[in-house]
Amino acid sequence: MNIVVILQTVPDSAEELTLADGVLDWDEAPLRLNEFDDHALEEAVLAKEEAGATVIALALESAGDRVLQTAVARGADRAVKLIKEVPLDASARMVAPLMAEAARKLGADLVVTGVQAPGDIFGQLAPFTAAELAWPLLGGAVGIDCSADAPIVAQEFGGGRSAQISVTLPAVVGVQAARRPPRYVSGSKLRQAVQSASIEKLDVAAELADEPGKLVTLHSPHKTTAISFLDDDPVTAVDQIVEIFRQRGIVGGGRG
Amino acid sequence: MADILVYIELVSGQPTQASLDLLSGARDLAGTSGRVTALAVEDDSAVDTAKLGAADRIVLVSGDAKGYTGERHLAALSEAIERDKPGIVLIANSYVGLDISTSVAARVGQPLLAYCVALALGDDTLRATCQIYGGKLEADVECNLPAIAAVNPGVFQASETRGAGEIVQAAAPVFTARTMVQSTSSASDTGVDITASDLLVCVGRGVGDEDGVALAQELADALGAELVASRPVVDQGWVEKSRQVGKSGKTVKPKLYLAVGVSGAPEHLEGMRDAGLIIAVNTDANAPIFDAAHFGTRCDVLEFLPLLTEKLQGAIA
Amino acid sequence: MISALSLALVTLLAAGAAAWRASIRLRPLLSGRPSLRKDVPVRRAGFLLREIGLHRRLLRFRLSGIIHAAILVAFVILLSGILQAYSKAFFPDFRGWDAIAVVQDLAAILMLSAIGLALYNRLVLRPARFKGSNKRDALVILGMISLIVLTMELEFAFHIIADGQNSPYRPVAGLLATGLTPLMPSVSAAQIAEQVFYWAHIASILGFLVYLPGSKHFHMVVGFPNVYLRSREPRGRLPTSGAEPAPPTRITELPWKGMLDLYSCTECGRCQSVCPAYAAGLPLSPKTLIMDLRNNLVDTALGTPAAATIPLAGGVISAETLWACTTCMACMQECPLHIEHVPRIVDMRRALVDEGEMSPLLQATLVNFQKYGNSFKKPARQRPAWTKELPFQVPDARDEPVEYLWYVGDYASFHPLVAERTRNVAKLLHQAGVSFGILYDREKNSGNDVRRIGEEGLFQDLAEENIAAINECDAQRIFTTDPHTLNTLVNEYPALGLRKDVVHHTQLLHELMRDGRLRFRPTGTGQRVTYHDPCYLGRYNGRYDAPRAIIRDLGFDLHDMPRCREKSFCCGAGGGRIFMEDESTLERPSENRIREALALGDISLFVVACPKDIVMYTAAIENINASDKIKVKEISDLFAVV
Repeated sequence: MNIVVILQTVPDSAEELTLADGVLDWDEAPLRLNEFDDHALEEAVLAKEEAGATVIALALESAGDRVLQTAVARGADRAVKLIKEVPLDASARMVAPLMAEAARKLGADLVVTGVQAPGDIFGQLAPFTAAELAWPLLGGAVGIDCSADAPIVAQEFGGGRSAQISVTLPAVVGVQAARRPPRYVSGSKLRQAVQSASIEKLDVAAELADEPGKLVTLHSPHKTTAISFLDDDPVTAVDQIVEIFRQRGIVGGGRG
Repeated sequence: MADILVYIELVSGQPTQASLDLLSGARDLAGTSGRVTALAVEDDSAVDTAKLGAADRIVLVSGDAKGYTGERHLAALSEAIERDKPGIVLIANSYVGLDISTSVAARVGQPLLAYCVALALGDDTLRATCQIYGGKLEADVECNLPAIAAVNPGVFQASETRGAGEIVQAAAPVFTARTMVQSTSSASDTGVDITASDLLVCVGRGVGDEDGVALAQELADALGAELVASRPVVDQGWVEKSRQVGKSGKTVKPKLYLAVGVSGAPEHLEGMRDAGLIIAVNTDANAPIFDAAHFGTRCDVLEFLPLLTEKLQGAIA
Repeated sequence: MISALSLALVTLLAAGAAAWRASIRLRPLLSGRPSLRKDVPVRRAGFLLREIGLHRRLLRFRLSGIIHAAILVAFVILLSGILQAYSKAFFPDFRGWDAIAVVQDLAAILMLSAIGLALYNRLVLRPARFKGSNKRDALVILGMISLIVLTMELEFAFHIIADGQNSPYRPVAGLLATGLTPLMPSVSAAQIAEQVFYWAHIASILGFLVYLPGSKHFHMVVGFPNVYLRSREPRGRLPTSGAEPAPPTRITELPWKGMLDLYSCTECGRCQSVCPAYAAGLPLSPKTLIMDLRNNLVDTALGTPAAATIPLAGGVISAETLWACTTCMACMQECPLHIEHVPRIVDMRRALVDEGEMSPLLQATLVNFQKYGNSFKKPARQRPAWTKELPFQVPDARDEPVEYLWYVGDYASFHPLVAERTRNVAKLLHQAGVSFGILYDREKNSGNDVRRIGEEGLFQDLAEENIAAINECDAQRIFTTDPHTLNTLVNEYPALGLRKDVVHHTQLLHELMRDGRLRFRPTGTGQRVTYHDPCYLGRYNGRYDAPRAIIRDLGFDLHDMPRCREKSFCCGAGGGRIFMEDESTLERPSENRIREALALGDISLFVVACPKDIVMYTAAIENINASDKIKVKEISDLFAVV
């Protein structure tokens, strides 16, 4: 079985994101592997370790080699770089045809990627790719069990609801969390992968799709509630909080 | 004004709060001239249509009692769109919404605006503000109608409804099933029901480690509160899943929500923003949790926890 | 009279048995990883002789040192007694040497007294460092030595009785003879007794010989090559895992010198008694770690099933034990046999890291190092954020030539408690007119602690990137306030291409004071203060004096704690411990240290010279509610305080 894991780099929201003329300054933006894709890779490798499969990491050329090398160090069997001129701000809908063609060419039985990315305002990659391929989509996945012919995907829907769904391959899975946190790749393994991992190049004929949605401008959020800041000294802050608790009857009413 | 189709997410026949909020929002957006249709795919229980009074029309699609599959709901919604040609389709951005909104947009070939926190309808355009990058930025976006919008919970508030609209029973959608529900479960079957507690102490990644969680547990005990957690803490296995608040956990409305070391990703905020009193403790002055909180302090979490515990023990003793 | 043949026979048998026992145990060394240190043989031999002759390390533990010296001296002298015993057998006319006889007799007394003291130490005083050692082995050895000496003396005594005339050269044996004469019915009885004790003497010697290879007293043999082959590298330069890139995962893959280390251990527990992890109740004793490895090596050598297949990290030695180490070097500082505990521990950590076996917290920290180049998960461009509150601009050393490149480090840049001190240092240097710059967003964590966590590859990455950035700068010297950074820059970066002199800010400040560039007035008014030597500044790099000189020059009354300079007691943060959960069950090392300072009496300031110390000791003082008695001050704080 071939599991193709699509890995995307996205601006790291832990860092400061600078804007230029109302759009993200992509030259300055610190790009990192999408956290959900990180989990998708982990889940794919876990599935492979349990049931045997070939894990193929797939990324756009613009994601950089490091992402693919890391994937190899993490347990991917092959690393494939998709060769196509793609603008950094291309939406998921735009790149989905490329990913779909690549998945076909790689003989994918299962395409796995993150359930979402932090900036995909016009829709997520997993469903767009599934639509391009006309394969079923299983989103919100928190586990993939490939030991049976029809893999079983664990889905979580919030509110503590979850389901086990069996799927006839081929299919696309959007992962929200792997069963365990993504494994640590030691620097030595990473360096080894940097030296030895061969990254295949894959040309695709498909063109970028049109994006019907349009980004007008990006800005910082408008604050909705006015917060009252308490003291930054913990001792004082604790006194203030206990006073608030008293006023609102959360703890025993006043002295005595 | 345009006609609006609202996808109603059901849990045992009950529409989710987010869907109801959205339905009211649709009612306002549609104005007097636009028709609002609520579409729900039946599950294992009878649909509580009385709650869907904001809709002019309620379409109930035959479903699968075994549970939700994306395929079935996608087919049902796509069929309805192609049949009714609404100007806008609204879907609440829950995990189910995340599962189908993009699929539907791709299937019917319409634009999708996701993570919307504000919507505005033009003549033949839809404009929205979308919350992205963990709540750090907002995007103003627009597209032509017809369009689909996935709206974050909490953007609209359900209002009083005026009795049920016309109910239409639709046949099961036509599709080739390639997925099958094997089993379903609900975390509330086991473990604690955090939605029942008036006082919650929530731990986030900022507590550092399990020792930090233990300190928070002591505080919760001193306060008579339940301990809850954000997703990263649950993912680490430090707190059980049934205590998770947020999009992939539960939505809570306690009297007091004390968020300790919680950064406040939108997925978390949507699960707790309606709490009566929100107090946030976080060393990062830019943490989005402070946008949702009523009171905040930027002191060190690990210093703060034992101090408050001690103080409360003193206050109660 | 004495059968030379039977003596030769039993001796050969015993020597054969001993050699066989030793060879089985030493055989794995033949297939260990290469670790022969062939450099400077004369200096190595000289060092070995000095170590034995002066007993420098042994005497750091006074009583045990004296006992060891006495036993060693007596043993060397009594070797002549053995020679004499054999000579008697092979040369029937041999009568012994009178001159030596006296010395032998006195040596016997010395030996027995030393053994008495050793027994007293082991059975009555029972220092805690013996906990976990093999007491039976120790007692057997002491018993055997006593037996050798007693049988020798008795043989002499009965010889005197048989001879019928007392020897002035054997006062002790003579005294014994006087006492024993009434018991001897006849001369021939005395002659038989002499024979009996002669053979008992021989038997105890040979028994000792055969017993030795399986005992901790094997150090009498392997200790010599072990000290001769000791590491002469600077302490701060952690060895890589030998020729192969992968760390050893099984006992048979250790470098052979590492195996020799294990056989050299005498279980004296000096390492254990100074180990901060052990003191904190963490599951690590450097001594039992070495013993556990040795037992696995012996089991493997003896062919015990499965012994050779147990993984070292997480098997022979538990992961919790390995993570407990602060890499403070106190164990290696004290070990009389120059055993290399810390490199062994780090090698095993490397195996754990390669398998991704670590606590979630440590893993998250390492991911932060990988992604952000620091443990604080701060974006690179926030690295210089601490300079914002300064009234002057700190130059970018990559853009303009500077006298000093300041390698700031993570804690000094990002930790609020430390950043304040970082600004203090900046102001002092600015005031002294020193031109200095920083690397801004190009500086990453130096990797000192990363390397000691066992993340070798990440260390290499960090070091290469940092060196590339440093090499872009036109600076004469580098300085840092962080001893951990200092250590790797001084000891490990040169091998990777750094060619610059690196100093600690205490040394720089002291030079500036001495040269009159930094004008200061003594702010101290004779307050009693103490100074904590950071492990990575003191024990690792021998820099003890500049901080002390500054403290005194500024007018403070400096009182050292009992554990000072190379005996300094680690705060508990080193070796990546600061990034791990603290599972101390006894007193935390930092709190133990504060109590040590308080015990000096009337000490108002606890002066430190390491960013991590500021954090650790500030917390420790709060934890033990001593804020009203003592305060943590960084050296640079003293220029303005009080």
